Amino acid sequence: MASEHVLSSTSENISAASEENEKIAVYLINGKPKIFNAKDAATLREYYRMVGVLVGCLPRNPRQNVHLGLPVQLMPEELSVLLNKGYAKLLKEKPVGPEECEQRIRVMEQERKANFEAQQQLYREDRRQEMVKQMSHIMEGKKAKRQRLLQAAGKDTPAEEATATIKEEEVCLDKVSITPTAEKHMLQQLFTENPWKREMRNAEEDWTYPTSEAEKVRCAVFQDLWEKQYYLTSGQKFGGDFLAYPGDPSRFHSFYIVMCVGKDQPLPALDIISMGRLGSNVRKTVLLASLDSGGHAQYTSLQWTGMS
Amino acid sequence: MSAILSAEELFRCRKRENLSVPQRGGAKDYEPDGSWLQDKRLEAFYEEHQSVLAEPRVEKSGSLVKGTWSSEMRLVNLEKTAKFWMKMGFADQQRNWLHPEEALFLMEVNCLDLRHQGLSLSLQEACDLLLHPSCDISEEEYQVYAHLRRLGFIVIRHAGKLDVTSYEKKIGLDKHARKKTKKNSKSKTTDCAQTTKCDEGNQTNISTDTQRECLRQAVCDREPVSGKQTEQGARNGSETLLNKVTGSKGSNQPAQNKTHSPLLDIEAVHNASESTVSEENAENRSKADEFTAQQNSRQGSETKIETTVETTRDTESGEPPVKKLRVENQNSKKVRSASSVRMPSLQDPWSSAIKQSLLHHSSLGLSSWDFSITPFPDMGGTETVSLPIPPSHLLPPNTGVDEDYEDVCMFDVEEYRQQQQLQSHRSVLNQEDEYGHLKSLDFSYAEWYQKHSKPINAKNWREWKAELRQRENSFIAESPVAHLWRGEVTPLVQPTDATSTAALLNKLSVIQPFKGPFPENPSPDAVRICFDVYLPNTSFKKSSPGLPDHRVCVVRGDHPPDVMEVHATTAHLADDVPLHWAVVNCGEISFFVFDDLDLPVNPSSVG
Repeated sequence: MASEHVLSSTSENISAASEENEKIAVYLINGKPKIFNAKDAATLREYYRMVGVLVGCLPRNPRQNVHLGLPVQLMPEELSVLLNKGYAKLLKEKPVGPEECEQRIRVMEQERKANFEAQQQLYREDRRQEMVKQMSHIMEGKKAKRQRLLQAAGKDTPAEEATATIKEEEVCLDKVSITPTAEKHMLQQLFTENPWKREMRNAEEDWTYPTSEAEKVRCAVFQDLWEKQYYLTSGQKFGGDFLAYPGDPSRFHSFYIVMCVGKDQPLPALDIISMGRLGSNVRKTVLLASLDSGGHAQYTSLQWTGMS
Repeated sequence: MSAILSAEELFRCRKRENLSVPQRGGAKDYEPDGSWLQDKRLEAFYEEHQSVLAEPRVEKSGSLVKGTWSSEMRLVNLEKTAKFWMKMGFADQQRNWLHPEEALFLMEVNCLDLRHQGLSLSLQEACDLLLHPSCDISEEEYQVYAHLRRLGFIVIRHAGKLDVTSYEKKIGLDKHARKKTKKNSKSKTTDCAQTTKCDEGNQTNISTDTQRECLRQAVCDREPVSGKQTEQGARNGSETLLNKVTGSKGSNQPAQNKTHSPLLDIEAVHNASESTVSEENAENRSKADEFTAQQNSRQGSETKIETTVETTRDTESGEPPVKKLRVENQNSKKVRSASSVRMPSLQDPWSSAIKQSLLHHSSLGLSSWDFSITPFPDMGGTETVSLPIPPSHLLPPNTGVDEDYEDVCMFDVEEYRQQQQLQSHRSVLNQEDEYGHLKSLDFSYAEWYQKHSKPINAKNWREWKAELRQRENSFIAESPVAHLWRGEVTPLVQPTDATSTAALLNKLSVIQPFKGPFPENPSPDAVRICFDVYLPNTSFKKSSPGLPDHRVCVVRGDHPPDVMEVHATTAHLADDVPLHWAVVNCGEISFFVFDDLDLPVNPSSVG
């Protein structure tokens, strides 16, 4: 399934999602575009080549920094491209009124109660199964206990009598009352994404990126490279604007460190030298990207050589 | 819409079987080549990735703490606290509060059930509410906070400058939580013995009676060996003392010198404790010691030792009452506002000491030097000096005059001078050996100056300094290199500076490293410091966390700080805690540290 999308994200797949309800919902939280849904994040990565960054704790193991979890935060350039192409919609939740709030509370409590009761049953079943599994051990334990008690009392009953009484008890095991589990053991789900049905409004007018010249260059360069089938992520690790991968970043190393510069921006020679050295040390090509007068992206690569 | 799990699904989640985290990196391919193997690997990655991300967050409701978001306070209110309370949050007005970043983090690690207006919040809603611009924590700051907390550090909001010295930090005094001392809370008048022991902050209005009581008690407490007799004696002693003084003065001085009273008590106690075994002298000694203690408390600490020593000698010689009377008569005129135990005050501590010692040594009464009578020998011009033999009573006890000399003693001055010259020559020779290597120098200012300078005639220090300055100024005009200072461009260094290499280098260094004074408040250029970070340590106390191990400030990737900001941010703190700059760019965090470096200077050489 995934193989089709790796090398060439076919245009048919992408255009199919142009309808409104097929668009991926991206939430604007405090000015940052985020996705709280694992399925959406997977779609973005596999279909749309938008990787994003994980910024939350992983539910499986929250206290480590190796692999983070949801939400996925998108780069502003990623969101701009998605909006331009119409693959995603930017949403903002409308505030909830007090009646709606009360209704939600009622629903929540109802749901929880029903859930807890169902869990009680499940706990009971589980306990019973445990007991069945451990039957032999339980029997032995009971026998030993009885014998101890009798010996303590001074009597000395024959073995058959003892086993008979125990067998009676075994039959009654089904009727053994199992104490109901306390509420503190009830499992509760903590939601990542907002589970409520709510009204959203289109927040695209809130999205003002790109505004400055530098941001416009970045956005245009991103779009251009993206259209050339590259995967792009943040280049902070290597001192550039983007890192361009030929395939998914998890499986391939990046080819280029993309640095966006204005077409009239003077570049100090020392900067060029440092960029060249950096590229050669990490075995990536440094791309200096800018827009020409027609608004098309132009690239210059740096290769550090010596003249001898 | 996220999947709302049914009870069965939740139940299945109760035991976390797989805690392994998908590893990053690993062997990567160079470029996509359309091979089936590559596709397979990619597919596996996507599946694992999605399943790991889509795992629900399930927790037992007993492990969750309920918190309520309060929009007015912009804080989360907790009813009950759990284990995390030791390292997070604060209490105010009998309520427990969490900062928004702490609450959000606890939500993410499944410890907190946050509610707003009665409704449990999802992570999405919580992010919206808690990281709102109106709260003073931004998205980037929260990401840094969560990053550090996941690593295990204890992170609190920046607490500002702490006056902790480096020694305190070394011994951990800043982290020591001060317990409430019982001393401060006890009432002061009831327990005098306590106050005598600890006088640090308790300058109190002890009344006369209680003070006397204290003295008595103190004396009694410290002298368990001596029996009732000395107790009585001591009490009587102090009382008779008082009577004597009040009798002679006949005036009431109401003012109490509070600052001296504890000292007084301590001195009394101290001196009383020093009294030794001999019971006969015990009474006298305690009387005398108290007397000196009281005197000392008003004189000042310098003369304490002298007078105490001398007065103990007095007691040994057995003449305390006589001395006291004399002192009293002497100083009857000079009486200052006394303490409650009205002792005569002595205005000039030094002169009184001298007077006392003279009193002891000579029975002539007060004497002063009379130069007309006492002849000083003139060692200047003559060859021999005749010295009259001093009368025997002026000589020290163990000495005597040779019987050969009857009236006059002759002293040969020439011989004395010759001996002096020999000694000085010897010292000069030694010096020349030490600085012999200086002769190999082409020019040594020190030598040159020695040869060419005239001795300065001055009557006092100020004149001497003025003369010296004048010489330095005229030197420039007279020296062989004087022509260099005639033009507009003058050398940075003057020949007078060439005393040693270090001095020369010091003079040449135009830009000095900044060593202080440091400003009290953060400058307007400074970047806001966000967090104080402590190492994961079980001995962390929220009430007195002490000096942090690190500090972190958060900057966005597109706005790096400049040199001024870097310096301004740490200048006002003036301690050794490293400041880490967390650069956050779209979820990626990198940490940097700027270290102050002192460039090494060439060591000085003798010259």
